[in-house]
Amino acid sequence: MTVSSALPKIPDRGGPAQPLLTVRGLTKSFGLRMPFGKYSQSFKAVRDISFEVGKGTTLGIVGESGCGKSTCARLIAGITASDSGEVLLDGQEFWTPGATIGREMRRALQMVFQDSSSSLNPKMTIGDTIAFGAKVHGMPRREAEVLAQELLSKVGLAPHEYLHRLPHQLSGGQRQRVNIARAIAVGPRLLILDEPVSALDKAVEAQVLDLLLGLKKEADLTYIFISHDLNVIRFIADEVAVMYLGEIVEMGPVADVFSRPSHPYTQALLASRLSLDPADRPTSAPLRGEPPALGEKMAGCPFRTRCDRSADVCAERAPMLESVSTMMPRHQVSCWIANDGAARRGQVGGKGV
Amino acid sequence: MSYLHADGGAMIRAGGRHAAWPRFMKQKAAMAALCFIAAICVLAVGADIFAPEDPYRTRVAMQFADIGTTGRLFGGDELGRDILSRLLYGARISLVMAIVPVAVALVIGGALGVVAGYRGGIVNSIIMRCMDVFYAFPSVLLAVAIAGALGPGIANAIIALILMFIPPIARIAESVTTEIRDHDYVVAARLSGAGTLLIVGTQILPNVAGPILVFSASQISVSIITASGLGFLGLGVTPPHAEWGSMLAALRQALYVNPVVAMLPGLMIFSVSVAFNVAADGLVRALGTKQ
Repeated sequence: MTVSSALPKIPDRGGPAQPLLTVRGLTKSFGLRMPFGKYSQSFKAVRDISFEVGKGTTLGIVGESGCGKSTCARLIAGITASDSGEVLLDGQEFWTPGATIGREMRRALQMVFQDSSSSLNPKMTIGDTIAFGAKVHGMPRREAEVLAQELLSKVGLAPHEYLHRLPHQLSGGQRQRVNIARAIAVGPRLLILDEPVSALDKAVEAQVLDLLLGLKKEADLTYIFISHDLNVIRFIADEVAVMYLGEIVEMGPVADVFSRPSHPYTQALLASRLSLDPADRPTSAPLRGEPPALGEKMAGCPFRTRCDRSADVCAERAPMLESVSTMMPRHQVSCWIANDGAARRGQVGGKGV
Repeated sequence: MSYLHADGGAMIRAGGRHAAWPRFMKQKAAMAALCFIAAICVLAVGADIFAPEDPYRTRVAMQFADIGTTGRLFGGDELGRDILSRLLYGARISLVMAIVPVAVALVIGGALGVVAGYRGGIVNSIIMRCMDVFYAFPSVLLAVAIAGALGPGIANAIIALILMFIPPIARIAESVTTEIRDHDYVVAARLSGAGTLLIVGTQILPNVAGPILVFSASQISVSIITASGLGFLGLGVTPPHAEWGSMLAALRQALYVNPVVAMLPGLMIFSVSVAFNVAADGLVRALGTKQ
């Protein structure tokens, strides 16, 4: 990145072919505390999630509220301890359950949070907040201040005007710009953006998205972009993962998933998307019912209670994430009916080839 | 190098922590209270200069002398000592016993509360349950019991008061820290690689300090009254030292002879504690803790 003072760039290890982030079997359960009882029940917030994010790409994660998107982000970042699973950053172990993450490793992955006000220390000036991380990593105070100024102007805020302000003196969009500047101040390789634009109005949202796209190119970043807004995902992401009840139900390149959604849940999400064309708006809710209550034990496919086309096998065994077809190996879906290969092995009558 | 410039950039007047003092100055009552406290402090520190008489010099002729008597401007006590001088010298001990216990409890209780809140889990349970034990007793009774067990003396009275103030301060610190701990800015600081000490120092303490300070300031008046209460019961200073509470106890005999003189130490206790309360309220508004 073209700033005069910056922390040393984290060297690339595996070359462009090696994914920057590899997540394998990420799982997390939370206990539901019952009155007068111990943790008598638990629910899996994130179940056995695996995916890869290529260098310089953006993975979008979509899903409805409570589907585990944010938990997933916090598990990857090591904020919340996971039950099992592993996360590799450029082929190197980022964390293992129970271990602490080294300081140098830490700075490779940064996060931007949804609530722009609670993610800035109310007692710290904007300049100090941005310089904080760089100073933690040993940058002298003076240099860190210069870096903070340069980053402020990079995110579109005049340094002399904003450097000494406190967060409550900024608007939501300005605060989110500061959050972005703070995140990139330590020279990360991967940014996890947890609904960074959800709380902003549409005009500001577009500005922040543009800013993110520009920074990504300039600072050679990779993004995981979490959102419930499919239009935003389509705009910014290269690949998309659709989550339902803590699982990825469909994943693939944005173009494929958006043009040929295979999972009934993805189809419903896409059908409920807002459109500018009045003739192209859904008249009835595309999805019936609500997700099952927390802690409810369910055999088979987690989506079958809301699905129109469930077969016998759906109630018996949970589907796996598999390629939709051999033609599109990267477009994967976890559905007995949508997936030829799975259907063949799952003995869904009449659908085999 | 910038991509886009500002969304509106609404100009908001500079404020924040630097504005706390101007906001305090705007409050007339709080400023008056602060000036009163400052004046008492000056008089107490300079008692050697301001006191017209040796506070220990007895004159039988001046026993329970009236206000305005020559040489006994504010009257005389049961041994004919000068009340004005004794009030000034007594202010030293009374102010020390007002501020020192709260200040020490602020440090100890604040530290305990922040550790309990930040670590959570079993550490929190151990610390806070210990604090709860103190809550089982009414606080004044607790102070009297501790001071009684340790025996009379200023140091023991201060220890008793410190122990009385630690639990409520720790409780406030714990609840505020617990609330702040999971804020995203603390998480972000952790993500940037900062260690626990640095996070507590830069992210937690500056945000916990306001509420704890405000609460502690409001406890200063409680401390004065309790300290005077201990003195009244003979658990504070030992005679012949002057302290407002013990003076009040000694002057009880004068209540029927010369009630105005007998009330003077009480009046001092009352006015100083009210002043501390008003100043503490001003601090609350200035810091905007109750938003």
